[in-house]
Amino acid sequence: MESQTYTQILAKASNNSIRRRRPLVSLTPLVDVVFILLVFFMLASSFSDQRAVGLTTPAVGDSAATSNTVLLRVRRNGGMDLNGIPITVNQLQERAAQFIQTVGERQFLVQPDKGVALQRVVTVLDALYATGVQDISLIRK
Amino acid sequence: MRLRGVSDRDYKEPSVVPLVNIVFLLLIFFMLLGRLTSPEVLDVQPPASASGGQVDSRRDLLILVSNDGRMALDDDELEQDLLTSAVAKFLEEDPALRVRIKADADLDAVKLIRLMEQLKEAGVKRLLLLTERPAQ
Repeated sequence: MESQTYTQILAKASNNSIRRRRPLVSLTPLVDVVFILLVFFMLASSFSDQRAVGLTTPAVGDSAATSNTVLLRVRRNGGMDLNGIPITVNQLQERAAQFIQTVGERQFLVQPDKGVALQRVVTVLDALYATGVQDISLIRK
Repeated sequence: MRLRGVSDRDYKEPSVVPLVNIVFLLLIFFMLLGRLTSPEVLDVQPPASASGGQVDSRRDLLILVSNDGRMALDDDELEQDLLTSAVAKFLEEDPALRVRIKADADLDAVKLIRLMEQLKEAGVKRLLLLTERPAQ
């Protein structure tokens, strides 16, 4: 062993590596399985970022006519009014903040018209939550 | 057809190793980032909202409401009255049960409120509406 020259050892090593590489295991079955797994995960997984918004309806028999209540009606024609004053979605936050400041904590009742899509109501709820309103209830006529 | 000068012996299969690398990366990406969900009985597109908390993994009752007003409790499509009585039955077993509603964005909001009122009468205390974070 010790009498081997450096070049001999090198030649042996390179011979070995060539021999090891030749009987390469076929990758095809692996690729097949991995492709099937990939297709499975692509089809079965969803990437949507789901959120949950708390919803309440006022307790049955609860009088809505208390002084601390603001009624926000969402109209079918695209408008809305806050305690009877017509406003736009952009004004909503500002007005709601005014109501909170003048009388403190308030309960907001959101009353959509028949035929108003849920998305519009959720947009209104979004704006109210962003203003800091805690107590929002949904009512119908 | 054989091109002149290119014998069978010269032709080499392109290496599959880079392909396997990429496919493995894609596989790991989809495995880690995607959430596996079972398909739902009704086709529901939830409304978009910026507010709302993260959905935790607690087991809640899930009510689906499609845009034409059809409803399903977990995997069974039911009429509204049957659905609320089924929810009431579940609540008797576990009073702390929460109810998630996944309603379509185009659903008439009044229909949803009617359902919520009925659920409240059935004894549901905590109602959550599932929404989706809008894409940036």
